[in-house]
Amino acid sequence: MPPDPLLDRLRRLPWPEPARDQPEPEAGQLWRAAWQHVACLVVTLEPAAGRKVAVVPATVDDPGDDRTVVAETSTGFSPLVWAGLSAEIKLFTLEHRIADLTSDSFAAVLDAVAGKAPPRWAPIDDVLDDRALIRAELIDELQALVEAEWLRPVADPISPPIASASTVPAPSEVARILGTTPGDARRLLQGLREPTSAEAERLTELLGAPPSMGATFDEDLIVDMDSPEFRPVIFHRADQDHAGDEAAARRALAGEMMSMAARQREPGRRNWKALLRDALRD
Amino acid sequence: MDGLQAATAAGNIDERFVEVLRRVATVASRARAAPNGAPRWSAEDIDDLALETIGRVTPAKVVLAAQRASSDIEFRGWLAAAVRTTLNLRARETPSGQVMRAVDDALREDPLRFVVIDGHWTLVGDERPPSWCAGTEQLVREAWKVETTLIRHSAAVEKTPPMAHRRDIRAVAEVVLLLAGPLPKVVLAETLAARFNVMFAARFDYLDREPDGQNEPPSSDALTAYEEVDDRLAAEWMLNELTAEERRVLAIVATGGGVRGVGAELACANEKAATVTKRLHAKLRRLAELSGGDGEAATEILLDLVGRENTLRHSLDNDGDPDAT
Repeated sequence: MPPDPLLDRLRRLPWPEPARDQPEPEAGQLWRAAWQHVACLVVTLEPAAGRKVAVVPATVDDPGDDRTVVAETSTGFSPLVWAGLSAEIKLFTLEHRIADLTSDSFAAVLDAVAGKAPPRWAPIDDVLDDRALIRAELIDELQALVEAEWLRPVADPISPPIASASTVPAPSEVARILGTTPGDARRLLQGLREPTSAEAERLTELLGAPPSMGATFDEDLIVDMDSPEFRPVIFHRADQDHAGDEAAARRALAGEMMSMAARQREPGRRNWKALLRDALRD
Repeated sequence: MDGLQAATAAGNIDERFVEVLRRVATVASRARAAPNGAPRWSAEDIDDLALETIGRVTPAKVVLAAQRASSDIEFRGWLAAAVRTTLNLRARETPSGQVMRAVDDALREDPLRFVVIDGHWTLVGDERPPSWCAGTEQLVREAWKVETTLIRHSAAVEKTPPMAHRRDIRAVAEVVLLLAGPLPKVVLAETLAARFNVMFAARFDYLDREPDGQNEPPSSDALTAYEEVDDRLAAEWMLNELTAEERRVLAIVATGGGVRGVGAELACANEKAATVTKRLHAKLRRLAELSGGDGEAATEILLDLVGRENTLRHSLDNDGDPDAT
């Protein structure tokens, strides 16, 4: 194939490379955050705290508003950071780090967050200002990442999920019907893992009513699974085994981890990250 | 072009990127004159436009835009917008064709005062040869000495829309031509563009319905009140004030639909749907103010214009290109 002159000329331009890694988030990093059909650029304001991380959104093009800062990164990116729109998004929505802001830039962002930076653009105080549309989109994107969740809501976290049935079957019977071990059946009845769709169908026949689908996982497991470190492989599993449904892939993984942990007899707190790394190595 | 967004987000520029970039540049160029007066855009012109766009926005922004996009379609839309901006910036180097059209229309209506000779606007009876070579600065200063009717977007906003009354265009042109003698059309248009603050506007419109009496001075009421304006002209102006998304949901809002309906049509979340709805309400109020009365007739015309535009867009063969304008 003859060389394409436009491609040659484009390739000679300086194309910066994003980091595309998943370290533990620290303050002053530019990340891509995404969940389902929403994606956006965010700058972390602090290290993650539990399941959440404080961020402000960023855009690519001018203009901004009176609290927007044009930041610089160490690798040549210049995002517009909308410091007036901070939010605590779910940690698991961070997809990969793009770059680190320079210390001067991050200081300017923090000043803008505090309302102390000199404005570069006018405030948006008229809905007819086209920037109002940009701001509205950023607010919606952040809200989607705040509300994102992969855990199913459990209506009554104390009762086992299958308590909605008129009688709770014995683990041995559930194990026989589902073709699993009594231990696994017991965990299912205790809400320590979620039934798969196929299992839910069989349980519906057994119980005469659909079982509750919520499962209760260890809180520490949930927090550790939310770490960006595990996102690429969970994403791959979602693609391979769950038709792209990342939430379902996460729930399935959490169930596997709970089963694995139940088989281990070491005393003390579980090292979920180590278990996850082992389980996901393949 | 699956995977375009992901590959570009990683900084990998390949044949997919070039193919999409060429395609969006080709579509954007269809509505513009070819460079250097050629009858059509050549493949080289398209490549130059593509390269100029990437050079202008910088590769870093291209990668960041790909990082921000949630899909190939969204990233492609960003590329298309970047190309259109390049074309608009190129057009800024000369007065917008729309400005020249508006000036020509206004002056042609008064053949007793203005005439075109060899591409120069001239005052009737002025026998001076074209000789002005002092640039437009002095002409613009002279132009500002003419009092004109101020048109505002709304009572609450200082910014003025790119519009003027034709009698004002003629009044300013007369003063400028008195000073300069015959002027090339482009120089007169540049001067008026500066005077009416439309240097970077894609449109420059007039509002008044008919050529008014040439010797009729504006009344003091007319200086502070809005005159009756042709409903169709007002609707046509408002059509260009609407964003593409606003055009899609205009009918919903104009017929009493709310935020939920707008959100469903645009497939967007609440904040954006609410913002678009508020903007449309404000614009429809402005349309009513411009056209006088309750604005019903102008709104009907606007809905019809939007509907016809949508029909035309759907029927055009655009190679399935979502970025075609």
